[in-house]
Amino acid sequence: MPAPTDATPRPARSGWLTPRRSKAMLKRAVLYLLLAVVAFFFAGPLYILLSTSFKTMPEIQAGGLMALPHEPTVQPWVTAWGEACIGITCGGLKGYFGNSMVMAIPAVLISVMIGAINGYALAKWPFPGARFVFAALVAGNFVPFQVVLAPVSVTLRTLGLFGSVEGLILIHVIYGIPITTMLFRNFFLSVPNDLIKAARIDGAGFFWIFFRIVLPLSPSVIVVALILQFTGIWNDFLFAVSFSNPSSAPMTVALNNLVNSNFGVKEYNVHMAATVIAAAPTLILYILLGRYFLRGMTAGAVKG
Amino acid sequence: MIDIRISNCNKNYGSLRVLKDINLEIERGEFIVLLGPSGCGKSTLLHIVAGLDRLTSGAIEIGGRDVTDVEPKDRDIAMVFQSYALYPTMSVRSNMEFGLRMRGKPMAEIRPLVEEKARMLHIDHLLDRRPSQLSGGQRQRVAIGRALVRDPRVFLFDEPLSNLDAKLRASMRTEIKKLHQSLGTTAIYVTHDQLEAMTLASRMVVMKAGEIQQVGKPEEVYHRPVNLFVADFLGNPGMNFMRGHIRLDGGHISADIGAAILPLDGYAFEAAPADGQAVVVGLRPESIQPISGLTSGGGAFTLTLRPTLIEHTGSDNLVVLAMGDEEIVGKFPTDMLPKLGEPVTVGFDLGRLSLFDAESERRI
Amino acid sequence: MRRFLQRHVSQVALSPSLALIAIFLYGFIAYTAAVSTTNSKAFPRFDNFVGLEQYWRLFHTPRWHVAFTNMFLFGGLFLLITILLGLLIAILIDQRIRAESFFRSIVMYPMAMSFVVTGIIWQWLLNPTLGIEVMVHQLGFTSFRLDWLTNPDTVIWALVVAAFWQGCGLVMALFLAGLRGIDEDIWKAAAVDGIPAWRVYVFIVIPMLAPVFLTVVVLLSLSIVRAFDLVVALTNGGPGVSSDLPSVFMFDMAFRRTNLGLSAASAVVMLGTVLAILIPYLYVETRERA
Repeated sequence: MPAPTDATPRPARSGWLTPRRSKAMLKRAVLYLLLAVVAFFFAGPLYILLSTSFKTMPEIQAGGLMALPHEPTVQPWVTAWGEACIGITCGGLKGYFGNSMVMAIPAVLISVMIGAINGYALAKWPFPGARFVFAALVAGNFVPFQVVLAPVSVTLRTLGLFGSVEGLILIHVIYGIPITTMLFRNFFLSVPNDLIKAARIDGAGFFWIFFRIVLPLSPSVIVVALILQFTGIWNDFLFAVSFSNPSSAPMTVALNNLVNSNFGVKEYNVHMAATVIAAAPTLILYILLGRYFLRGMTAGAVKG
Repeated sequence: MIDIRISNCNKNYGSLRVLKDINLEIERGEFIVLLGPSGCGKSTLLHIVAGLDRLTSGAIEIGGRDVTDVEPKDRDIAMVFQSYALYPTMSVRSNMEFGLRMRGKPMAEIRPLVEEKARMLHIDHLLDRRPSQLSGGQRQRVAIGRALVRDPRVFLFDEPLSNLDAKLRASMRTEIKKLHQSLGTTAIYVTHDQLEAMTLASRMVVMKAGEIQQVGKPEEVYHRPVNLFVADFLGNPGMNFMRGHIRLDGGHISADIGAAILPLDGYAFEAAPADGQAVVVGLRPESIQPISGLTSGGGAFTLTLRPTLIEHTGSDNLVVLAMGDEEIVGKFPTDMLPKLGEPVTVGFDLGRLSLFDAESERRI
Repeated sequence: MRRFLQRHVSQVALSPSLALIAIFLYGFIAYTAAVSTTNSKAFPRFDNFVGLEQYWRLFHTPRWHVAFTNMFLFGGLFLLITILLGLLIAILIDQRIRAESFFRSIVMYPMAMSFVVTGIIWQWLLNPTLGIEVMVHQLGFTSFRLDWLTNPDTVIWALVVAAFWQGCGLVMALFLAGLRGIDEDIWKAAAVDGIPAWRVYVFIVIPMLAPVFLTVVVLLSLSIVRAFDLVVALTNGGPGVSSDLPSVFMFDMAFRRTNLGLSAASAVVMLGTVLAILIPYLYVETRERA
């Protein structure tokens, strides 16, 4: 962990700028310069996004993306939220934001619940073939979902759910099973088996032990699973663009339609405000729960 | 009265045979200790009695009732685990109440019961704490208390003391012994610690590779091990083994171990020995002492041997003695300190000697 | 019955999920594989079996060639750059710097962004009339050109830089965790032996991170095969079809060109690509464990 360069400032002794010390200081300066470049590369885009979203169109056309807005205006935000035209309707993003919420919240809750029960059953109530069942479920994480798009589309049409938020919820719940099951199963392996045994001898059953003993031990993994699923579902584009219609489209689809439509003058300030709105929920989760967020992303990186 | 009967019990994990045809009958009130090296199947056997593992074939009876297919909660047992298995999100009180609440006993009856047992175990001041706020020893008391409250027909202990430090382990051992004496409930206790086994057991069961090697009272198993494995497994430092062969010489039987010839006239043979039969002679270090320290007069057999190494344990000295090409260990009192390299005369207590067939490794 | 449920409650609890996955995953994969052997157009039909003709046709479609080649081109560049820079940034952050969590957060926040948002942002930044090119001109370098998005030969770099911006945080975090997991005594031993830091990294520490490299390569490879939203939002496959990827091709064939048979064949090839990455990996992993 520690790199042997030493930067902790020490009290100055006679001739503090020795060759050795000045070399170390030079190294430190280079280090922070590199870090500044890195930070600029990653943070710059978000800064541009935010500052431009408060500018007027003339100011943007005058150039200077890096400058702070001269006369900050919230009009782009108001337009993006309530007035911008997406396709043929001009009601802004608010309806699509609602679609995304109405889709994501139940889908997240249901898939996390199912994953938790599956993981618990696999980790703590093993049976002959449990490993095979686990492998069969978890292999779903690696499948590129392109390979199921057409049959899902047919199935949703048959069920009358094509183009509906309910249809998207169903699909997100089903294809969330592999990742949530894997996450919970791996976590529950660390819950001592003796605890389950003691509770069984005490007379508690499968669900009682789950709700009263195992779940109270697992707030962190629940948070991780909630973040992982919310981020995945909120940010999903493939299912959204394949199975929604203009009235049920989630944010990702609406944003893409807004920004990448070829009609009229591009209102960059509105588009950037819209982009921030689309990214806001997951970004806020990241800011509030960064540590859990990273764990979720690491676990979810395998997902299709 | 038989309290627990284990008949023809087998347990396989795939092709791995964890328990091989185990038969055991346990009397009411007995304290049975299952002892063996790790992987010998002792924990599996306990879990099968608890109903936590299903057996592949065979039957388990508790209190005269066949419980082979009965759920753990309906077997009238309570169990104490090595990891204590206290429910971390519940207070000590809730932990102790839990089992009875699950059985639908009214709270009015549970409360006083829990408090009584808590007082008995000196944990009544801890009732409102969380397990994470307790020390290891306190957690163990709570785990025992949780089992006591249930007032079960059988107590099962799964290496309950192995997570404690040596001193605490000794005092908890005493306490468990006292508890058993006052309650008289049947208990099965799994351990790999022979000291626990020797001190606690009314009968001990030594297991190896899924099979019972010997069942008996601790002193019987210690002094009359039925085979080389049991002889070697028990005792610290271990029993001395000397290879040799039997000599039948007129009316006298003796064992020629190269460096000496040990007379065996006083030995209680289980099977008639044959002349020239290859044997292993086993003698515990405490049966090899300086001549003046020998107490039992069994057979005052002496040899003069050269000490090559001395280990002071505090309570006595372990003296390694050269005997031909081999070395044996004797346990000398602290005041008898031989000098390295200077031969001493040691007495062998042949009354405590064990004799095994070299091929079958069984006691003869 | 009650007793059966009690004894098999674990299997009972799992069975709905297992049934759903069996149908919606394995069943549907089989379905798509079956469609790929038919001449289906807008709707799947199974009465016009054509064998492997769709695969033959797929590999004789110029657009698929572009898409399939792009996957390896984009993938190779993305892997190389993300791993090198991700590791470098992890090492920089691991130098006991001040405000470490600040720098970490800045590198990692793009993870929270969707690929659609990422694509849109970089579309603006790479737009010659709006983004980085204008900025550099304003700094006085008026001959600067950044025409990745409009030049078919370099458009792949636009995908690489945007994907790197989004994905570097995860890679950096994995490497940083790996670096932090290395025994401190290694550094002390190296210091006692007087080995310079860069040599310790190159010859000792980085080889110790081999398992992290393996994980990162597999994770990134899977995301490369599946990359879809980024292309749609950033280039929409353009200019022309020069930045197409298999996933975009597949989607286009299925939903816009109504050529389900060909689309199914391309989806099966994508799955095959994933398996080609995954099977050796799982083989190595299980062998190491055993």
